[in-house]
Amino acid sequence: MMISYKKKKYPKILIAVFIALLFFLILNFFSQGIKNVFYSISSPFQKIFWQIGQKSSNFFTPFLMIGKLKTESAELNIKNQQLLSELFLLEELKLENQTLREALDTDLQKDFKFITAEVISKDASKDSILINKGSEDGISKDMPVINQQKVLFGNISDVYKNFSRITLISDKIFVFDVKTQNETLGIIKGNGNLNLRLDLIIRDADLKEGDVLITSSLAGSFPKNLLVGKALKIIKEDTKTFQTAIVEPFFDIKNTDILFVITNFKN
Amino acid sequence: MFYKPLILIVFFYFISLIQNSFLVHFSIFGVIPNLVLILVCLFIFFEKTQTYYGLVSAVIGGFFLDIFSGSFIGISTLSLIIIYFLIKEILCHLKDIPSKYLFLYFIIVLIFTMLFYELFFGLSSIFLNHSFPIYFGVCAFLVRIIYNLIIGLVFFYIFKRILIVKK
Repeated sequence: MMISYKKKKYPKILIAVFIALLFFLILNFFSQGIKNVFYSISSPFQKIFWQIGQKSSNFFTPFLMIGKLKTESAELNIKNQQLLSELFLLEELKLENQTLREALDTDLQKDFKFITAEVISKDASKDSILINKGSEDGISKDMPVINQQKVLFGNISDVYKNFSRITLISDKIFVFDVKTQNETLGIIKGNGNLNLRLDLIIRDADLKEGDVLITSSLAGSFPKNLLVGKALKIIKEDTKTFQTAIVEPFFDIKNTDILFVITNFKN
Repeated sequence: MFYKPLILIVFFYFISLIQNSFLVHFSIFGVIPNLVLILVCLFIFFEKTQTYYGLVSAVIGGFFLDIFSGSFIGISTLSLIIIYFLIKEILCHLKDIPSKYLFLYFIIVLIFTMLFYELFFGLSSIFLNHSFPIYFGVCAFLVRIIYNLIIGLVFFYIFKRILIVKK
């Protein structure tokens, strides 16, 4: 097979292209309505594709992870022995933790009103997802979005009549304050591609790998005590005043169907 | 004659749905392959001299990319139209491409398409949304290129086979 390319003449085509382009630019004035119509038509298909994708990725993941799982299994065996000895100590802490957790639960339910929404798609080129509730359901811009476990996902960035777009906290536009269990304050920055980075942690602060990060109420961007992520790798340099860390976010797009939009939080 | 663009509209519509709802679950390091971009690139690459299906697919594909993203309508469309003319300009300088090296040319065209699209999309995001797009990290960008290339090569051989069968 041989493909030959000859130079074409484009005058008519160019005019058509510019008319089309002008048409698309005009469409932007009605983009909310147009997108809402497209999402309404597409949402039944998108739900099906979302569920098929979720099921097939759950099916393939163990095969793809087999090598990693073997190494992890060996490491876990060693860790298991260490953990058994620590179990006794933790039993005492468990009771205390449970009490605190219950207090946290009642607080959130008392303080916030939620709208339940289903995830139907994710933008391929940005860290944003689409949910099937919109302005008609009482959703408006900047409302925080969490899941059942109070894991923070992001906030509402675009609202259509029946749909809304959530910008995930991993998007580059996000910067907000967090704290660790031992009240060390820092800033979370969206790093793109579902990654987070912890910054502005004072050099002397006791930050360890595995530390859980939750939202603080200092800047008031999000409700306090929402789960954000876990510190994976601490970066501490002698020349820098602050330490940083790579953070593993708690939100998991692949295994999420239902989200909760907090409707009565004012930042 | 008019049924072909209609088929392309339905085809790219479902490809966009698959990209945004199905392929999300197969992301690698948070990277989702841009199936629409790959297919538009293939349509341009295999476009015959007297047809404009490459251009039509660039407009349709770009439109659906715009619709299913949070960005302004027209950004992806404009970038794909520019890509169409640039690729055509490059390809006509290459004259006849022997079948043996066809996939090598396609790899170059696809990498060029991705670089241009992401640069265009990135710059427009900075100007219109005042935000940096997600793919400015080198690592993530490389993953994006490799992942798209793998998917692109699979579809390249499917396209090639279809064209050979047609002949």
